[in-house]
Amino acid sequence: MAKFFRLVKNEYIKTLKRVSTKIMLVLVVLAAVALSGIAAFGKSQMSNEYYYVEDSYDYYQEQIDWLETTQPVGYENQLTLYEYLQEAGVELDDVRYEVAESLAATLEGVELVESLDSLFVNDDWQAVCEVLRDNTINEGDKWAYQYRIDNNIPFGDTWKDDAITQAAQAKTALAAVDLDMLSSDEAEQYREMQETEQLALYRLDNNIERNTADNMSLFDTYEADQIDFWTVFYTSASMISIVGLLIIVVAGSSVASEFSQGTIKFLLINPVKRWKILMSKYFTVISLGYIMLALLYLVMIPAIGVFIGFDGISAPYLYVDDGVVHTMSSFLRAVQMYLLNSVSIIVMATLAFAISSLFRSAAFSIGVTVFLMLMGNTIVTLLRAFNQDWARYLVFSNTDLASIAEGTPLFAQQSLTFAIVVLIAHMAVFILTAWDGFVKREV
Amino acid sequence: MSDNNVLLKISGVNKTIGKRQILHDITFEAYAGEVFGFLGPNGAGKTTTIKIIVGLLSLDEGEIYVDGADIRKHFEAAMANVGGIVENPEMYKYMTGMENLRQYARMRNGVTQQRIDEVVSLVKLSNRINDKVSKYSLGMRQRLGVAQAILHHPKVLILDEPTNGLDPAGIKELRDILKELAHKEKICVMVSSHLMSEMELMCDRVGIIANGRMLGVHTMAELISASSGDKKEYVIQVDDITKALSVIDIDESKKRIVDGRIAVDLPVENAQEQISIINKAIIDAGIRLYTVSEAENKKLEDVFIQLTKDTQGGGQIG
Repeated sequence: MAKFFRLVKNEYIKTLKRVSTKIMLVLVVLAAVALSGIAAFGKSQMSNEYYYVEDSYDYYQEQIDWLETTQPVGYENQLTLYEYLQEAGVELDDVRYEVAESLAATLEGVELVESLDSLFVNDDWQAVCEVLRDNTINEGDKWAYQYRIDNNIPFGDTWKDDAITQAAQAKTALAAVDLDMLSSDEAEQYREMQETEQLALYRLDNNIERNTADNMSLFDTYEADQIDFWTVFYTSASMISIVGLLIIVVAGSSVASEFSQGTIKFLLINPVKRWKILMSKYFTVISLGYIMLALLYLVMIPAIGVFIGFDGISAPYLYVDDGVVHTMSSFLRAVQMYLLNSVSIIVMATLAFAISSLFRSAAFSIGVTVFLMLMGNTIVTLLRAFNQDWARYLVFSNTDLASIAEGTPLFAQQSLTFAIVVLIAHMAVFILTAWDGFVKREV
Repeated sequence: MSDNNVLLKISGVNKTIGKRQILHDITFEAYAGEVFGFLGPNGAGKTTTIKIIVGLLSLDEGEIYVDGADIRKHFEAAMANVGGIVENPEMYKYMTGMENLRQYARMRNGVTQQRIDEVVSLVKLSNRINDKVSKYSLGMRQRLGVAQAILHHPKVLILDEPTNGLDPAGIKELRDILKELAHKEKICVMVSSHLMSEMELMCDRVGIIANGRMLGVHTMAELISASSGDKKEYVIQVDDITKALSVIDIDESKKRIVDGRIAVDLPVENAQEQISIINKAIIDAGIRLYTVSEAENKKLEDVFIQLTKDTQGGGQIG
């Protein structure tokens, strides 16, 4: 074993001494900086409010004018409400605006004004909650007002308001469902709704402001507020194909360069069996891939910090498994995402390694592998569109373990186990090909 | 030599590449403390044989033992006793000589930094060992190749055409190193070449191969006597050739004019006695005698060419 690691050390020295490898490591660092920089640029170009917000005063005036002109049934209540809001100068994006709307739907005349006073002037939000709780028929809302009272949560505590709303909406939706009539799709939605409720309650109970599972991919953001530390970090996990490209170059030249440099003979006349040399090379390629991933990961942290800031860096990742909420460090979650996405990189690197052992040409193996990497998904997607179910056995149908794990595979009924078995079978073929090309080949 | 000293034993090796049989029943032994020459024209199968010995090629039939270890059954044990250069001394050009040697040191057991330094000074590369190999001359790379080959104290050192591309000084330096390794450190050194003249200066024994068949293994002394047979040739340079030819009192068939000089064949038993008589006769006749010398061993090369041309005949010497 010690001898094997001496071989690996040799391979590392050979690889790292090359200028091309050094450039690759610099490229990884640059990719991290570039992603953070682009995210920061995008953030600076986005507004905080995606929706156009009218001036509150004008809006109330419009409503008042309209109500006075058309005088629909029960318009007096609405009129009282808008006049009050206009006078009190309540902004439309104030959470209490919606509460006031609910009050207007529940109470009338003096009672309404009193309650509005409690809400906006006397800061007696508990009284408002009690009134609304007693008058609503909506299960979720009933719970939400009681919850505010029990846990002393006034209106305007932004993240808690959001969490309470999420939980309340989930509760309302769940209460309306007839469990016996669910199709499988609906059952899935039902479960998701349950999880939403659980997560919202968990955050409220444990005072967790942010769940990084709610962060969108950078590609889907439209508001500056949505881009924070974890948005960029999680997005970097989907950018690791850059590392994949670099490691394919290393894999494709590992064996081939020994032939092109003429050093293969000096390598093979050593008292070391060929398969050990081959395995030390393979081990080096794969471990170097993970070192590059680790480098990307480590550089992302300060790079995002500099460009976006460290806000929310301590937020955890929450998820529901088997009906129980689990907390995970978001850093660990990022590691998990990197590892899941690394699978396709490793498969492609193994392919490049095999082709290069067989044909002894770095350019050929790198070219073929990059071609397949770029075309693989397209080919598989096309085959699926043509209803060619056998395409599920192709390696490219199974490399996206992250999607398969999330339950959104390319082919229906494709499980994680199935994907892993297909991947292992392909890797075995690749490695045996490399073996045949290197161990048995006459030099 | 006793069996204990057989370090390299090749027996009945056959090798077919594609449809062509490259090697036919190659058999020979090489001993500790000798430089064994492996001689044959280009394409005779020298490199193929060497590649099989060091494990770069597989063998179809036959057996090879290095210090008693079968290279097929105990590859690592056998190769631990083999060092070599096959074809060109190609190293990692982007590394220094020292870094290259450390690469090989890690692949073998028991090579210390002290040993590396020792080997470097043996091949006289100490002052350039920290330069990148890309800046080395061919001779320096060849010496680095030798350093690499002897790092781990191998009992058998195999060099494929090591003098290829070297200048005369480089050839002499290499020759001295190899002789020292064989004669002082009792290594079995096997050197392949297609030049008989080179072998003559370096080797103790020579195995001759042509068209994939061994033509025989001979000591250098055997070859020399075979080439000259029972006679020795002397070359005499004088001012008056015709007169001198008439005063040399030997059989007409044994004296002749070659390139403006007189060549004489004398029996080995009393060659010196006879040449002194001839010298005296020339001087007594008033002819100016410039030089008298023993002829170059051109004939050794001729023997080799004749042997390897006629491979079907089995090439018996003497």
